[in-house]
Amino acid sequence: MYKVLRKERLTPKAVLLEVQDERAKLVKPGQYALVQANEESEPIPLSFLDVKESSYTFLVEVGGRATLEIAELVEEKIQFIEAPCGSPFPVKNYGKVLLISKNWGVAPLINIGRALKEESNEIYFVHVAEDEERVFLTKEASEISEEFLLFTEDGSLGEEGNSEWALGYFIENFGKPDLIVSAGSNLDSQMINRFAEERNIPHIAMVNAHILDANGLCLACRVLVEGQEKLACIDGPWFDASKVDWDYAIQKEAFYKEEEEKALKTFLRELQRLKARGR
Amino acid sequence: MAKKIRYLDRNKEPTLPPEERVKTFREFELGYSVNLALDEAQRCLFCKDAEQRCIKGCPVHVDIPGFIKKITEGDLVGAYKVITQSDIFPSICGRVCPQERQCEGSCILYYDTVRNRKNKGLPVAIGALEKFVGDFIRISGIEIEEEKEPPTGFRVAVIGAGPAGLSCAHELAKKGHEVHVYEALPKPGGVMYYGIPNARLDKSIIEWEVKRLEKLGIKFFYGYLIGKNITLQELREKYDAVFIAVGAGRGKLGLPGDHLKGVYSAIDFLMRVNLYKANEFPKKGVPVELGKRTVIIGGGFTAVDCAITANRLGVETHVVYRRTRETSSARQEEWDHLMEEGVKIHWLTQPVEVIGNEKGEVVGLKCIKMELGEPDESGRPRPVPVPNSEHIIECDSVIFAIGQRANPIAYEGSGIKTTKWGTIEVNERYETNLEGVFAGGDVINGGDRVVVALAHGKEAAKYIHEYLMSNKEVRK
Ligand SMILES: Cc1cc2nc3c(=O)[nH]c(=O)nc-3n(C[C@H](O)[C@H](O)[C@H](O)COP(=O)(O)OP(=O)(O)OC[C@H]3O[C@@H](n4cnc5c(N)ncnc54)[C@H](O)[C@@H]3O)c2cc1C
Ligand SMILES: Cc1cc2nc3c(=O)[nH]c(=O)nc-3n(C[C@H](O)[C@H](O)[C@H](O)COP(=O)(O)OP(=O)(O)OC[C@H]3O[C@@H](n4cnc5c(N)ncnc54)[C@H](O)[C@@H]3O)c2cc1C
Ligand code: SF4
Ligand code: SF4
Ligand code: FES
Ligand SMILES: [Mg+2]
Repeated sequence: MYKVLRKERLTPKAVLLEVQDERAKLVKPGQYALVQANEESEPIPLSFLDVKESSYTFLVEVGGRATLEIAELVEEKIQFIEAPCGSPFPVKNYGKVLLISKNWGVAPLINIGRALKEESNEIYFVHVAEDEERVFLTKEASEISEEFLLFTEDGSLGEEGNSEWALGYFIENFGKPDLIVSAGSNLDSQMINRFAEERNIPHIAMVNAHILDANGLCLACRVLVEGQEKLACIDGPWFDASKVDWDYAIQKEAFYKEEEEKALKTFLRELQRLKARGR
Repeated sequence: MAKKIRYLDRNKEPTLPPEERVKTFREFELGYSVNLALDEAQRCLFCKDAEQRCIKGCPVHVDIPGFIKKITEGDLVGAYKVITQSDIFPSICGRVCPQERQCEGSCILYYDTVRNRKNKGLPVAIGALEKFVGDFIRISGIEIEEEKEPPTGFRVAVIGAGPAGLSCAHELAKKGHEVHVYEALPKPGGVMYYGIPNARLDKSIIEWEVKRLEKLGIKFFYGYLIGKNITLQELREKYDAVFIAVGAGRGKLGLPGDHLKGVYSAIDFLMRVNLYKANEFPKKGVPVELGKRTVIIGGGFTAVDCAITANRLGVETHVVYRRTRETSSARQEEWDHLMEEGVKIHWLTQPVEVIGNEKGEVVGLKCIKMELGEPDESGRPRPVPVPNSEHIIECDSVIFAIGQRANPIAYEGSGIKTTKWGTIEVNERYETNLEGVFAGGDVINGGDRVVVALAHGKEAAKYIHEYLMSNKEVRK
């Protein structure tokens, strides 16, 4: 059991969650935690956003069942957290670095952006959100960057545009970066990668894969990197985007689509019952 | 008067009928009643040379006639004490040991290990008796005091809470050392928890045993993946000795088509059900989806456990194995159970490719038939393909239960010496090439049995104790 120190709603689609944990000291930039809200819940990966001496903060964007459970049911305690997991981001001096986040991807990118800034990189930040409810942490993102640009796909806030468009706009106005880092969506990272490859810009991306144990045991999270099986949970989540088989990663993301819908429906009914009973 | 030898009247453990047990994840072997246990204990001849027979067949050398004698005397606490001198988990070993190839296989009623010939009878049900004794103590609530030596001031880190780690921790704690166990998963027990289904080993037993260890003062830290959050080197600096017991639990795939939707490693599949109760999806959050029919590839413990589990999810279950039943490393009894439950087993069948449709979903498993040819290096007849025997078993999912691999995260890059299979190299004292670092269980042998892991943990503890007491000053 882990103690929740703070829970804050950012938008109808997202909460910030600060959790007390001595293991905070061990966290390196770009790592994540495997979080299980309660005994019944699916464990899911969440990236570290802020890390302090003995606590850390997650940004949780509500998508399906597990994230909704965290947003709705978690108040004081979290059942289980494995942390920190995954290989850290390769932090060093690259020069001019462009961070492009999609939705929740802003959290891991702020985390590594801070570390990159300490290595005297020049940070530029582009956040692409599906809609205004997925615009979060803009202040934190702009604090570390020379320039922060906001796009929404439906034009509800900031400029209208998707990742590819945003990237084109960036290069036109601010020139070519020495490194692109993307997180938050495989589809977007694939799009960005095509663009980056054409222009010979190095690109590191966080690959999303279904993570079950985060320990390298089950192989559920396997991805193909240069034709080799790699495990997103331990070898990743950061990979050289030009070497990732994105079609495979995207196809695998949908493996549990039907079950995920069913799980959400069941939980929504349960949630209504809880609310009717005034929990 | 000479005792009449009861060769054949072995007491069968009461078992749920097949049509009942496939509906539930409850244990289906229900355990001896007191009467059955007493009667079965009477069958033992208390052989004077048991050291050469049943005791030798047991990897941890439980004093078998010794504990059975206690049962006949009605002294179950005494029986428990005799067993736990060698095997700390009687309830567990009684359930999961392949007794027919260990203790029971060497019982004189069945096989005369001294004269090397088959006898006419059925062995004493040593496993069932051991389970009875362990269960009795657990259920009766009788507290067995464990002797613990005064604190030494030494601190030992154990990595992994599987059988090897647990038994090592237990032994070291009794010697007065402070023991911290680091486990990546949310639950203790290793494969015993996330691999072996409830139907064979109820999880509450593992939890009870771990409480016992906690009472001895052992501390457990869950959600620590050594190598990713704390390195081995850091543990060596913080503790006086380290025992690596991380098993060899990484799943294995390996046929064309193993990227398709519906393909699982055994560990992926079993972990979903055993650790995260996917059988109760969607009430619980973790899904598992096998479709209407599944095919399990493999012929060992893992394949059996996958079959037990899949069948209880209401899925038509097939097992394909390239060799024969006789060469399988699982308990023979388990195959009988599976067949009674309606699982279809295809012996001498080699899978060659997982077949998918245009949506990337599994639709079948292409196989060829095998026949027995010349013996190979191990002396077993080598299966060879039958020409033109290719066929497809239609299915919606495929589970690879073809053994596990080393999972080197804990020790990768630490400078530890490993074998070509990625397992850790140790000497006869379970020492690795790194000072103060020991290893045992599946991580040194690549995959064996629970009882062997228990034995490693216990023996290694002896050497760790020696190492601490002879070489080291207590750190302040
Ligand atoms: C390394 C990593 C770091 C992440 N960091 C964050 C973060 O900081 N904040 C945040 O809001 N989200 C983060 N995510 C995404 C988050 O894990 C998923 O949104 C979440 O698992 C969805 O679960 P759900 O039950 O709410 O939704 P579902 O409806 O069950 O799933 C929605 C989609 O999320 C993905 N997903 C589902 N289950 C898992 C799983 N067990 N592991 C990984 N992906 C899954 C699938 O693509 C799925 O289609 C991260 C993902 C990864 C891989
Ligand atoms: C499905 C299956 C069924 C089996 N059935 C039987 C049976 O019926 N009878 C029998 O005798 N044997 C059986 N076996 C074999 C037996 O389970 C193993 O030989 C035994 O569990 C090995 O014990 P261990 O302690 O070495 O490792 P494990 O049981 O593998 O335990 C290792 C533990 O270490 C943890 N770990 C791994 N890496 C790290 C890390 N870096 N940091 C922290 N923790 C870590 C793991 O999560 C795990 O909990 C079976 C095996 C499988 C796979
Ligand atoms: S530990 Fe296993 S092999 Fe040894 S006596 Fe008990 S059941 Fe038999
Ligand atoms: S060999 Fe069989 S009969 Fe003899 S002591 Fe062992 S269990 Fe009893
Ligand atoms: S999540 Fe199980 S191996 Fe990566
Ligand atoms: Mg989910």
